[in-house]
Amino acid sequence: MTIPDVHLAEDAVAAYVDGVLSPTAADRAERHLRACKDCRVAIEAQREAKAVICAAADPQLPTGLLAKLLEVPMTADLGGGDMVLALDGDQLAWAPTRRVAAPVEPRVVERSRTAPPSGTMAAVAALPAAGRRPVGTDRLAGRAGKDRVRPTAPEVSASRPRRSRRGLALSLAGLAFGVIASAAATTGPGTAAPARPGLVPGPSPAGAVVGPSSPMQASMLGPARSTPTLVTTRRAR
Amino acid sequence: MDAAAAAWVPPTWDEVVREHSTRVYRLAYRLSGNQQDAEDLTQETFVRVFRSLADYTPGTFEGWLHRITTNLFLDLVRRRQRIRFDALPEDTERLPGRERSPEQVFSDGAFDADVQAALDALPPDFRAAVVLCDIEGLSYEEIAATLGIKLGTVRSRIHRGRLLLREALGHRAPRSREAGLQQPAPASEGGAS
Repeated sequence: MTIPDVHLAEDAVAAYVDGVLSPTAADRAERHLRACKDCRVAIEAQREAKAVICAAADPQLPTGLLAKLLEVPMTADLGGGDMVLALDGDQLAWAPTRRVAAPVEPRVVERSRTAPPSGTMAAVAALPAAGRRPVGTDRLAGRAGKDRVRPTAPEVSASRPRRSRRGLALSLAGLAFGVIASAAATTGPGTAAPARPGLVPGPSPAGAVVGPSSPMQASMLGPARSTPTLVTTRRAR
Repeated sequence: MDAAAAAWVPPTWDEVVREHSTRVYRLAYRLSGNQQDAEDLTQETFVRVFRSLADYTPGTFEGWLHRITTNLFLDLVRRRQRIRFDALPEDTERLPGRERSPEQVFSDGAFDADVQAALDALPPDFRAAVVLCDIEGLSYEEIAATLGIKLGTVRSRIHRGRLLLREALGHRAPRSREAGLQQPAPASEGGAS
């Protein structure tokens, strides 16, 4: 048998190594490989690279990260980041960054970046229009190093698209009403009464309702944290 | 499916985190190449998960996490590239394609710094395909869905990504390269007439 002129296609080489060629195609590839040293070398190179990657040891979860993740329900804003993801994780939209001299909207700076006292649901939810960003997004955008404190880049954080903000604000306002309803249903005697004037949340960005925004989130929070608590976020001016 | 969905009991947040955090962190680390970004990506992934839990459909949790993590990573890369083009002087040290400082290599220590450095040398899109395939064990179809690309593109990215990775490793670990070249070709030369 003479060496065929046609070699395995590049993507067929990867697919052959990963064993995902159709039986027919795999059969054809094998026949070709018997006769073609170049392609055998190519296959071997793929195998070798794959083996090296597969053999790499797993990184260990850094100490402290687990605790931070467990605290996500208490510390995470429910506002949107720069990127809008579909429910299935697909990237739907991605906001181009413009450099803006001043923040587009007043920023609320009352909330401390540290975790709120346990037992409260402080800062679970905040309307995006209140100017907050998810903790992680801020840090992704502007953090330089663990041991150095640097201001996050205002150019980045100030440039979120108003369009997606509004959309999120609207949907979160919807969520907020849902929470009020569920809070009314689940809040028992002795829990924080959501009745003080000024604390009543609404679609306006001046107030934020804090609490699980769905039955599933509520159930995930566990009994100790299931009491919705209201906090306000005042405008900066 | 409806019956399964009905029988499905939502896990507690504790369970979600404990079951998935190691995998998410591993993916985030392999993609970003450093602990700092990996931690941030992991945290942001779980924030997104928490935010969307209400609409989560049982059955695809892993795939869901892969997608969120990978897309957040690709977004991070694009954002940094944009920042570079904007030429913010104070951000120059945060440019993509970063070299790992000796301290960083040391602190990452225990596992294969060579492999990670080789992964870091790949273009992010190629890196994502290779990592999802060879570290996370996703099928080509799953990778295509995760990255929103065609199956043929998945194949060629994996192929070229592995070749690039091998090249990068060749510089750092000549032995593995030689071993590959000296590998005897599969036998059966006299198989055909």
